Amino acid sequence: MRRFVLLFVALALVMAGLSYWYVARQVDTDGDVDDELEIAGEMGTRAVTLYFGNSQGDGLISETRTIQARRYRDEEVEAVVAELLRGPERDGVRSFPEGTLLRRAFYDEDNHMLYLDFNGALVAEEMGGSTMELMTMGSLLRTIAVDFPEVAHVQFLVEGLEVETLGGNVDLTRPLRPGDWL
Amino acid sequence: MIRVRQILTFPGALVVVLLLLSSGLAQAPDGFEPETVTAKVRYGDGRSSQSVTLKRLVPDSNEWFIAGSDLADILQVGRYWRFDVRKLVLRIDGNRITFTVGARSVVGGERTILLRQEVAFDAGEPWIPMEFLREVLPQLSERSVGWDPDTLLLSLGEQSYNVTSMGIRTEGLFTELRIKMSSPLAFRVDDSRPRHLFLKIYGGRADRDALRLGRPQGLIESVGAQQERTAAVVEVRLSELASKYQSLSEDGGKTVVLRVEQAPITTIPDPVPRGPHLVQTLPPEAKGRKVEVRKVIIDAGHGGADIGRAGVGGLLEKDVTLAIAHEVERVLRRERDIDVVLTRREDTDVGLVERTEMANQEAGDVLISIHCNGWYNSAANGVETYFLSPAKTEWDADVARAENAAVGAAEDLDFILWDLVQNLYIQESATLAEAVQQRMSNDLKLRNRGVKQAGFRVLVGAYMPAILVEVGFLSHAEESKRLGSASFQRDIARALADAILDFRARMDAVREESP
Repeated sequence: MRRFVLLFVALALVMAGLSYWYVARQVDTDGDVDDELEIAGEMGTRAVTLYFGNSQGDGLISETRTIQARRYRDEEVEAVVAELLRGPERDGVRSFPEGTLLRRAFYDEDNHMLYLDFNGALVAEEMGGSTMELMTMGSLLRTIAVDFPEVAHVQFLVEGLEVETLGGNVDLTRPLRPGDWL
Repeated sequence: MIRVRQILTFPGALVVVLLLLSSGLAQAPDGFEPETVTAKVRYGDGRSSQSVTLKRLVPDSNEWFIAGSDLADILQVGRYWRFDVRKLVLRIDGNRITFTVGARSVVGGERTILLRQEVAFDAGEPWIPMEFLREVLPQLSERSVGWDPDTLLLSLGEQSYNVTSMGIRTEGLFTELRIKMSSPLAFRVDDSRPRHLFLKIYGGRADRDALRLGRPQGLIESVGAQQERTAAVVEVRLSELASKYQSLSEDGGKTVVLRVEQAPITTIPDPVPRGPHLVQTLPPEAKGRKVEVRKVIIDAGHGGADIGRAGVGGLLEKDVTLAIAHEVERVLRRERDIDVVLTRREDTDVGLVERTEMANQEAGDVLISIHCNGWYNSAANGVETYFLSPAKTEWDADVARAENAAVGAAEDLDFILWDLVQNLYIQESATLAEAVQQRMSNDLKLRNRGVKQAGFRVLVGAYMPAILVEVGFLSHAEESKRLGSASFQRDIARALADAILDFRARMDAVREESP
């Protein structure tokens, strides 16, 4: 009889272990598949089109690059803007002032509104003249329009705050439509 | 009791029990029977209809799944199934589309798209959520897909146009092209190519046979339509007589009107060179506005702490613009009947909105804002003149209004009203910009970068024709040097003053034509 009780306890323990294993495995597979995919590098890569100002500052030149696809649009926007800030590999002119950095991109999915928060270098002394302002915006907005067509509006921020203009000319007090810059 | 003990002590029996238990546990959570239906597939290319089996493979979801082999079959594409990694590859119109069992991501060419449901595995093969056919396939290829879950009818390749017809009407100096759509769609007009207008209709599927005009009619030489993946593009070739156009939206957004205007034939040949683009103008209100140039507002860009751009050798934009502004005032003072007001007379910082307000309070008839240009390299040079982009079409304005209402900011209403204020003068602003650009480039032999439109802060809300002129590049060594010289500043001022007088003469002539 003692042997039977012992066996019963052993069986119960094995079952408990088994069910724990099963439940744990369940949670695991129910968990975010995308996370696993991302870790496994299976989000893949995507080609993006970047636009840079031309030498005279009166047109944009396109360049295609491949970036790592990201799970969130914000992160992918950050990656694309980082490429823009890196400048062209072929023809064209890097269309941002020295030292410009994107602090953060935030995409408001409900309103299709993309907030781009830059550091102060974007509005530093170097920035000025309609050509520079328009082409800086054009480089960024056309790139967004082509690579992220679902973005309906873009709001520029500098150090987290809205700015009136970049260098005194073009109105930035309301969101811009990337589609207007195609 | 002994029998029980015997069975339980027998190790093989224990394994059996465990197996039974574990298999029971494994089946318990998905103890649901997949619902199966037969859907009808109808083809637009003349193939005869067929049936296909769909399953609901996920509990608590209405999504139907289609077997990978059936999907390849109805799409008539090649398929490659790797059982070991559970990946299915379909080759659809040159794109490799990869599905992975248990994953939501679909990789097509260089894009990765997430489905709402994972690709399932049943009866030995992968099952794809119908969302792929409904929403993803039309993005990845030009195939159109219709799926009606109520009647279980899947239509493939059937054309369902939503840009359906067009009409052309010519009246006097105007030719109007009307494009009709079955639902309101957003559009944009690209006028960057000379003598062409490209009307891009987002989400449009064009009936290309209906949108074709082979022979010229009025100011329109030909019309043709192209289908892009996400938009329909209507190409309109214009006669060389066309000088301006408006894009309007009618019928609650279901009709786009391109209203092309011929330049009036003047007795004296019109020497004004047109910019690289047609001038986009705004409709109705602008007609018949009478401008009499008596008071000119000159705005010297930047000032005070806002130095503007620094040029070669420490030259500051704020100083150059102020010097030119004073000089324009001096030249115009010699003219009878013209009063000049400067938005700043000293090296002071004046806000952009304040400048416009000052111009309005002074009841100016013309606003000219003077600036110096800049670019990231030292190659760019020349002169360019801007006027404000017109507000969007009525439909767009409605959208903007609705958006603003949703945001709930009271000041946005003000903004829209002020936006419209400059719209009232958009025609005149375009004329003024052309006059300034012509004088600046011809008289001073500067590189002509053309008349352009953009959303300038200082021009928004100006209740008068208003332009912004970039007189030269401070980032260009030679131009910067010239901009610093008093004699060149005087030449610029002279050219600007002459442009204002040209504009006054033009406005006077218009007023006499239509008393």
